[in-house]
Amino acid sequence: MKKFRLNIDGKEVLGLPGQTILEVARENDIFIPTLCFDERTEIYGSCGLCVVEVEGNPKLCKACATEIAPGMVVMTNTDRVVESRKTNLELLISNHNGDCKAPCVKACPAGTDCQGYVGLVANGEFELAHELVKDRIPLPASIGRVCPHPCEDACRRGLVDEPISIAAIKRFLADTDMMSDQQFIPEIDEETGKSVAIIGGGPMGLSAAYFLRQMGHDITIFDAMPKLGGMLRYGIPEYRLPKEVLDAEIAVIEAMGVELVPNTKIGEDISFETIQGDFDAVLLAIGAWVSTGVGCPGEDADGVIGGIDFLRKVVRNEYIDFGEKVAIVGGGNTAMDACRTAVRLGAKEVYNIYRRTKDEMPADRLEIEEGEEEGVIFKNLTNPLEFVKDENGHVRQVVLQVMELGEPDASGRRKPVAVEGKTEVLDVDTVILAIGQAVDATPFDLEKTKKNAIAYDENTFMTSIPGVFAGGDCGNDKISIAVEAIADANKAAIVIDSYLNGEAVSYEAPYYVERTDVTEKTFEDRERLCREKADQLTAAERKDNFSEVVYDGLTDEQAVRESSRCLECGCHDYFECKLIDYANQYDVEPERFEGDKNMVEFVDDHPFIVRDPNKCILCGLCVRVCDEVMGVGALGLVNRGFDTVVKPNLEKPLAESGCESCGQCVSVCPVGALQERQTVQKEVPLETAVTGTTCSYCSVGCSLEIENYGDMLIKANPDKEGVVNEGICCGKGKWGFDISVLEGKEVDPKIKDGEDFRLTDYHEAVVMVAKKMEAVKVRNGRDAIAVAISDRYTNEEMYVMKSLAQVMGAKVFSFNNRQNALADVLGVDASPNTIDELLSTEVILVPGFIKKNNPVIWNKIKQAAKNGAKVVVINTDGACDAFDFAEKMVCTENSTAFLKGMAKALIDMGKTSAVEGFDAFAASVADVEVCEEMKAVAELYGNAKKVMIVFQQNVLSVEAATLLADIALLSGHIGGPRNGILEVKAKNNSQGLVDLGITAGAEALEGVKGLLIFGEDPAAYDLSGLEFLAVCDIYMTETAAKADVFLPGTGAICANGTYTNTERRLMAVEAVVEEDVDFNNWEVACEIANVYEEDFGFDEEADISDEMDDVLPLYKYAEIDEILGGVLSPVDPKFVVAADAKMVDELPCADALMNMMADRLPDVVKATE
Amino acid sequence: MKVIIGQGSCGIATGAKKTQAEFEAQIAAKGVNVEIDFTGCVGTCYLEPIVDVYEDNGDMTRYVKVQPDRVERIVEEHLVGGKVVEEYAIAPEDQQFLDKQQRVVLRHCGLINPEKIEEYLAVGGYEATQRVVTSMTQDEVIEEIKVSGLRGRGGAGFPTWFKWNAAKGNPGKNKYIVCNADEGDPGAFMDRSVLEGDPHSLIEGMIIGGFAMGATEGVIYCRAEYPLAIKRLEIAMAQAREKGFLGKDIFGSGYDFDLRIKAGAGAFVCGEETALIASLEGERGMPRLKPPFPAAKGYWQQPTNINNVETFANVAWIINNGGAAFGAMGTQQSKGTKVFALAGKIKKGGLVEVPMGLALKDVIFGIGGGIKQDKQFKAVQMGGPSGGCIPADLIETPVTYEDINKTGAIVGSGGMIVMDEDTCMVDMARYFLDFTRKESCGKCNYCRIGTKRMLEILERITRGEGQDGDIELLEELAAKIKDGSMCGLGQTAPNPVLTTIRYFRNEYEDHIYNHTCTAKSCKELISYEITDKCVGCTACSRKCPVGAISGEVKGQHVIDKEKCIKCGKCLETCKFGAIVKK
Repeated sequence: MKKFRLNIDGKEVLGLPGQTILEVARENDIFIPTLCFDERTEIYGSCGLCVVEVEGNPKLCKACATEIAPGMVVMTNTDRVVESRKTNLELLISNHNGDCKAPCVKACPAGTDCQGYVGLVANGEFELAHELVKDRIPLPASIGRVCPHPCEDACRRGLVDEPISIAAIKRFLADTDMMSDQQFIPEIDEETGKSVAIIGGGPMGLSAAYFLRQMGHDITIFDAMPKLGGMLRYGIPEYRLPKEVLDAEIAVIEAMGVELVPNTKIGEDISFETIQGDFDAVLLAIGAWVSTGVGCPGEDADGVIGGIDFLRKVVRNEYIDFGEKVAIVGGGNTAMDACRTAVRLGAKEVYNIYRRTKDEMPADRLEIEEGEEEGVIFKNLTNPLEFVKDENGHVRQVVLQVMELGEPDASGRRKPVAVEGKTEVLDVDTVILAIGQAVDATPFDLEKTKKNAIAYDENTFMTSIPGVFAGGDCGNDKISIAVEAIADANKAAIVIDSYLNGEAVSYEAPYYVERTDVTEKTFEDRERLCREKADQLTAAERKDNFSEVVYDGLTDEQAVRESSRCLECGCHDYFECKLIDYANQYDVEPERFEGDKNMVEFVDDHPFIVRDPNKCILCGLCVRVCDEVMGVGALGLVNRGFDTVVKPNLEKPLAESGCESCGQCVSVCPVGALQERQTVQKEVPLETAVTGTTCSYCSVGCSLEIENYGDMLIKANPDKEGVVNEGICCGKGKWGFDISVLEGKEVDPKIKDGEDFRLTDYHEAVVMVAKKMEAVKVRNGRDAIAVAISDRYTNEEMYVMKSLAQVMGAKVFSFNNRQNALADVLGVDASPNTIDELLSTEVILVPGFIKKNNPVIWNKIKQAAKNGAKVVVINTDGACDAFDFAEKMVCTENSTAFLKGMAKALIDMGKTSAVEGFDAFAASVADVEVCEEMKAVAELYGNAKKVMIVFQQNVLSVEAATLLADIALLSGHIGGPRNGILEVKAKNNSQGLVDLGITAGAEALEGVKGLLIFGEDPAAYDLSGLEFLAVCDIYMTETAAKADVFLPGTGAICANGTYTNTERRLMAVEAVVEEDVDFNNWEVACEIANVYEEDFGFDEEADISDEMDDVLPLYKYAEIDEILGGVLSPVDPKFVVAADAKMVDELPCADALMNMMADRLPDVVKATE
Repeated sequence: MKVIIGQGSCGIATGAKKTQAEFEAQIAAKGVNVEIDFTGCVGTCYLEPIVDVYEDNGDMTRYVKVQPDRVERIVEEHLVGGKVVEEYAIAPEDQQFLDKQQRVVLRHCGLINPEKIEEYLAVGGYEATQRVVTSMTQDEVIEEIKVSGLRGRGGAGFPTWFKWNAAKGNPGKNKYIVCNADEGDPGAFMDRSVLEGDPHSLIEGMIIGGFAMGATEGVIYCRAEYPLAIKRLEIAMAQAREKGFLGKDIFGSGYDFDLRIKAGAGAFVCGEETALIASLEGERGMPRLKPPFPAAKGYWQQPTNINNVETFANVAWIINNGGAAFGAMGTQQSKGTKVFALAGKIKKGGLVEVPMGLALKDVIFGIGGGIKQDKQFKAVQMGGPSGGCIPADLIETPVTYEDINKTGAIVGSGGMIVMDEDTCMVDMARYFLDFTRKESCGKCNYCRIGTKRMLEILERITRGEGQDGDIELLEELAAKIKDGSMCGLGQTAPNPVLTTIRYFRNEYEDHIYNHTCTAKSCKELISYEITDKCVGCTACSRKCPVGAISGEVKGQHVIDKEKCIKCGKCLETCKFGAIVKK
């Protein structure tokens, strides 16, 4: 086909006729946003986000729906396009009710992912949680102790009972890390060769160093004081922040390779110009170290000192003679620190003077309460009028103006007003003024603020000198708490990094959607749970010393319990939400469209799918995927206009809407309106890692993308690039990925002791397996021992297990193996044809197919029907349904009669064969009565040029399968492309087992007295005749419970290797996490072999595959995702006479995991009126 | 003699059934030999029930507003006595309403009995069909329609021949011809009138159209709110089938064609072609993207042609009289006649059919008789919720597709809602937007949320809470909704707002900046006061539903503005003109 040439955004590109602008743009890496587009569904065009301009067309065109034309000139980024997309997103967001981020995260100036680390703690993931804290907070042990925690003030748990102790949890994590053998040190990027001087080693300077160092820059911190830490060290008393804690945190920063230069004052010890000359960039983080006064007479008296000066002197153990009566002026945390320090230093009377009431004090409530406990006398509603000096010029008295509260001021606090003529006099020896702080930026000759602080651009942090940046308390007159300085450090680091790379980036605060409807009522149903409190010293214990008040922090159990109280406010889909991604790309300002939101009451009832229609943006993807792709149609659009909403069928609960729990709606939802219900203890929105692997349930071989965060398994989605499944999967794959790590998983070897098991070690367990099996062999002969291997394992695992069996001299089989009729008739022990051949054949014969066993194959059959294939379903009662697209639906008794009749009809049509056994076969069906339906199906089948039979091996009886093979052979419909049989095996690696030569089924049990089972739970078989049974599995299955020795096994989630799917396609299996079991499956086999003094020499899976390549020619040249061989032609075929039997005769599945999953998935309930 | 009683929905609604019963009773009592029959709506809905008395010589007397109490005199004096009851007969100026029209679509409405095919045959019915299927080729039919210049009467005004020709040219297993009888504009009822008064002309139009494009099956998508129309259509189809005009081998031509009715559930958006098709297929009535157009992939993915009732009703006339005769009416671009539904503050509301090109003034004043109570004409809303407002100073605008489009309104399906000085244009825009945003299918974001937000802005303006920048925000949203919506509903929904801003921006500004409603219509912005004309009769205070009026007998009354709910009852009640609206 001749390609069209077109131009998109100035780039000349080619596209095929019929392709849309969107398709061609994507092929050429030109970004066009979409919310409602999915290549597997019909073009819908509702979101309108993909609009582009096409030259010559006055209207905006939807790229998803506009076909390309020769010579087309497309512009995807014009002002008009951007405006349209932006407004569109703003409208969507104006009706999107959710919280992108939890209030705690948004309240934290540094944007610390509080919900994230609290959630991780709830899941027991302390290390991951600590790393997440350290992503934003370089000094968590310090900050966890001293931060006034705006996060907790914002915490919605406060609407239920008390906010989560977020700060205490942070401290717990940092302390735990500090106590561990290996403290966390972040990874450092490759050295950039660029250098940054940071002036000031307080929270701002240290944090900036921490972030910039991670980016690979060479960092030096200059500090005027003898030790680093700034105000954390010199402004916060020891009883709140032990200096050894701060030292330890600074040590980590030093260990990262940051150079610390203390005792160096700029302008005295080194000039600012020298530093500017020596470094590529400079960051000023000098803080605000000047105490400000109150501006009343007598302030200059001896004995009147600044709050931070006082605290610094105490830290530095400088001599202070403050007498017996100390008055501290001010209501902030510094004032409280000064009060409580004065108490500890032995002052007899400590007064706090503050012009408003306690309720208005900016200090942390706890600080005030604890100060009071320690004996601080609060003189609220007073304000110093004058400091009266004695004859020596030392302060003697304070004259206080009595105040009262008036009208609220701009800050919302009631303004203190002097009560005319009412004063009070207080005798004092020392006055500490903790009113405020100012900056001393004298050494730096750059632009200053009105208050003489350093002026800088608030988005680029750049001062008036290019390359010199500033932040924290020293700039822009915004003196604040430590975490604010850390926040500045984080943002400034991003900007400085870009500056060093020659770019000019300015920091932009991200946009988040916020819920506006949360009240106490929202959480009415929550259980009231008080917060966990760490032990602390009593007032009596602490008031005369500087020991840390909260001496140990939370215990592990307390931390987990406390974290578990989290209400999980932030959207779990934040990291994959397309809406918020685009909203930030297009700088939305949705406030201008604020109005009603369409709030829907709904039932959240599904065991796997979490719905929140109030986050829905009506892209319709869930509805369309459910209907068009999965053929279920459980969801639909209800109501009109603004009130439109997605609801389950007939407005039933989702679980009763015909939903098949495939979860594809969740996978396509671009926002958080449909989410996975996860199995982790507490669901946490996290930026997950993604691993591509293959589903371990049925034999289709669906490619999955599994998301994890550390050891936590989060979710699975079908891979859109999946070679077989092309972006879809069923409920087993979607929800069953973590089946091997659920509650009840076995992690230790066990030995039967009387009726029950006792724990043992691997050594005793494997020795017992080997010796007992040997003993059985000695007693009963070689044929009396066997190894049963599940067909769920990887080829590599099976290979080692089989090798073990050889070492043991045991026979090998699988309970899940059913005799393959195709091998008897056609001489091939595999499916002759492949799955996608269905899509282009003329007629498809589907006998007794059970949809839920292989929904993805069902889907292919449906697609084939859409492509024009005539589907003929031979239906037995209860064996199959859901084939409403079929050309013909034959309802028949559950017997082989119909197939025999069909064979007879084919012979009657003149079909004949020279192949061995034909006569006997013809004779065997000669007396069969042929009805019209049989004839019709036979004609459709016999006369078609290309026709395929699809059957499930462990569903159809061997006799039925034999007949199908005979019929194919008889009509010549075998051995050609799109012309033959697709045999669907039972399990993910049933074919792999066969390829290893393990073809025997349960019949091999005959005569066996000693049995080692890997991963099978043959509950349907009587094993009571065994003398010895050993089972290796993940759970204590019915069979495992009967074992003499139990060895814990591992699941597919930690396996590396390959499966061979039903069409002999080699599928890659990749480990996602490590399981909490010492030996994985193949290692267990190796360990047993060791007892036989056999060392297989495998250190990792790759060693096994290498050996397999040598031993198994089929696998030697095999490639991942490719089919081993193509269409299989019959090898020495012969007709086989089939006895009368049932057509559908399911072999019970021996895989406990498969059965568990079948139980977990809810039954399909069709919605009815 | 024959008595024919108008029994369209309008006639029945005003009591035509009771009138008929009364005639039957009176005639039986008097023992006169008079046949009683019924017909559809003649168009002068404001005069229903209408009764036509035909003399044996064919002379006709039209009686109007014939409630049962008027029947006895008509029977006694006219039917028995042979003397026309002049008092009840149609007034000359009302007769003018009809005489000034030129009727093609409505040619049989109000004249024949729609349930008797014989009457339709008597006026030349099915002759066109016979001619077409027995003696014309598909191309000849299309050519005739092309010559006529007939354009789709549903709203867009797309040339009918072109659509037929496209559907004819596109390959397909089956082809379908669909009649859109989902008339949804508020205040529009021309299609209903044809369906109820002359269903065979629709059937004929569809057979001819079906023949031209090569369809063998037709579907009439009729709104379920038109039960009488559906009933009469069903009767007509059965009769046509019985006569062999529908079904196999029509007129022995070998052409097979049959029709069925699909009752729609009354979603406005199903007037949109692709939504209509989705609804026909049993899906939710939601438009899809075009192309492909229905002419290529329509009903069940087959070539499909969709026209509305009025369009089809022209077809047989064109075949009978020739495309040129049709084309001779109207203007160069807009040919033929068009039916309009006159409603609102107009003296004579009803259906009028006039040649295209007539000035608005001639329709509103010439035929419609001007504004009720002779108030000031302010504007006319044309084209329903998708249309726009045409202000008084553009009243000379000729009614053609092109000229009306220039004003920002559209001809649409032919609704004309006349407004006087008491209509607030902001409130009017709010009304139409409220309609469209409720009827949006909810698919496109711009239409679903954008119209809701526009409505919210209009609502706050009418409440006096408008903000500086609201007009500009409305204009911005309007432009983007038009640009970003998939179907006609969204693309035209902002029109009433845009045209009112264009012509009545000062009213918007008054609401926003001065907190006044020029038309004194927006409740939140008006107040009632009692002037010193008050004589203290207490009538108003007795009528006030919330007890907001107080005062002594024979003393000046006052309204408590806190309590007043601005219902206007007092103003209506006061006989002394003492109550004013401010």
